[in-house]
Amino acid sequence: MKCPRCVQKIHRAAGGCPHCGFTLADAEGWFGGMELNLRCLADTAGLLRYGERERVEAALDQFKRRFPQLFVAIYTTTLGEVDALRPFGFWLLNRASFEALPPGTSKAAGILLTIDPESKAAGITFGYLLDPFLEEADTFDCLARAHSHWLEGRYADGMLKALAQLSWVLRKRCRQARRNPARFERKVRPPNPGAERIPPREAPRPASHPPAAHQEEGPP
Amino acid sequence: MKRLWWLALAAWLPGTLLPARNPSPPPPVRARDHKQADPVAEPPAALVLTDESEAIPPPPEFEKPDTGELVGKPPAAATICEKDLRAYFEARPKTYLIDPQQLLDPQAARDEMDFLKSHADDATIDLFIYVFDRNQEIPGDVRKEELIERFFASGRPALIVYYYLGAPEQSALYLSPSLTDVVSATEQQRTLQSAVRHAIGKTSPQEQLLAFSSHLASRIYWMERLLGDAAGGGDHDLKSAQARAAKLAKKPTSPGEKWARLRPLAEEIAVPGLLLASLLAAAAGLSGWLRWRATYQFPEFAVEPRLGGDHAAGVGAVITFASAALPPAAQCEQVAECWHRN
Repeated sequence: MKCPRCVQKIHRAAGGCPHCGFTLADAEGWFGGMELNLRCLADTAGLLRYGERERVEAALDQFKRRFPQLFVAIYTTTLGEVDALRPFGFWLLNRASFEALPPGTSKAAGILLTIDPESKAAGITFGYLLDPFLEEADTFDCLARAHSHWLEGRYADGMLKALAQLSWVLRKRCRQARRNPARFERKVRPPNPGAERIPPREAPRPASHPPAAHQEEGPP
Repeated sequence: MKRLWWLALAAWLPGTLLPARNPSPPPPVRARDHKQADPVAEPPAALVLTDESEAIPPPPEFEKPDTGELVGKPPAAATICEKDLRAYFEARPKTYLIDPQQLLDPQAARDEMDFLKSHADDATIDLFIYVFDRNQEIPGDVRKEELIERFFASGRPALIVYYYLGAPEQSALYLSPSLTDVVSATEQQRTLQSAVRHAIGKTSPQEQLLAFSSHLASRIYWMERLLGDAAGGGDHDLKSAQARAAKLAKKPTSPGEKWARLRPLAEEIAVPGLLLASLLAAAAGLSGWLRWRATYQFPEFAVEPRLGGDHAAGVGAVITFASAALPPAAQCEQVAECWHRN
């Protein structure tokens, strides 16, 4: 588990980053504190054409059918900085409400793929439900599969590739969890209550933070 | 009585004394009047045996017989007529002896045919013999090698001989394409020369042909025995050659032949094969459909929130695709961009 801002390892129940003091409140300070309503495919940067949008939406539906607990959201925006991508994903997944999700779907079961065509970067953020099952390397593999497509500007193809890889990884993890759930439970077991916690430091404000996303994509 | 005794003694004395000087019996003496009475009936050579020194009269002149009066066949023409040429070279022969000019006597042809047929029944390599007359030549426009390659490309392997009746030394030996690659030219030449030597030892052309073909058959039989002697550590080249020849012989050339060979097998396995294929296809389809329909449920564990996020704090990877010079492999280590800048 890493801090979205400084990408340093943090404790599994850290209230704030022990290295940079980052919390969700800092992200709200940068990107806004209101609630957002978003579709699962929100192409605010205008990267997808009509046909491509349908293909991606079909892939998202298939993912939902295959993993009824989970959902994937794709958000394209212009942040301008690669470093802002992780805090933005963290903020959006906690703040946004996603439409057309089956009733009972928790936001903790979400996976958010954020693409910034300006800084030419993409990142993945996921909810607590997937904390024991997804690792940084898994998400890196998904993005690596899409890299060549995005390099050529074929964003839809890259999204489909990333989704396919993500689906494959999750199927594998699901089978492993069915066979040995204790292995995954150990990863998220609450820490020893007697252990001393490191108090978070006050997070410094970034020199030039990206524009708030809600200003670009308002609630539909 | 005494007179008779002296006469007998006089007649006996020359007979007893002469053998002492010349042991051979005296030649018979023929009376001149008898010779003159029937000069035609007596052979002239008999006159030499007489002690008469008269000149031998020349033999009487006889009229030459007509062609129709001659016993046997007239010599064949030097050129082969068009009809016979077609019979020789138009198609693959249906019999093992090809003699459209009927140069062989019917009995000799039957014997030879029976021999070649019995050889074909026993051996795996057939023997075809084209019979020509000794003074005949195959026209230059007949491309023998090409015809043999065309006619004998399919079916059983075969030895083909162009045999010149009465002149076995002119014979030519060819092999079907399935054998040309596996029997060396030296071996072919040796086989032909050996058969010619055996044929030359006979006097009549029919006997020569029979000796020639029987020797060739024995050479074929010997070759097959050698090739089939696998356990005895025989010639590996020959063994592999036979295997290849058999394989080539078995190989059907036309789709029709291939289908005719496979049809009984196909009819036999069609129903169970189709059933099995249908079952496999159904199983594969069902498996694919089940996989496609499968849903995955993760166990849910209690996760303590961190960094103030109520729903998510799982930070995955970030990758940049700004330049092809920075591939994903160079971005494995996930650190903040500010660290890169520093």
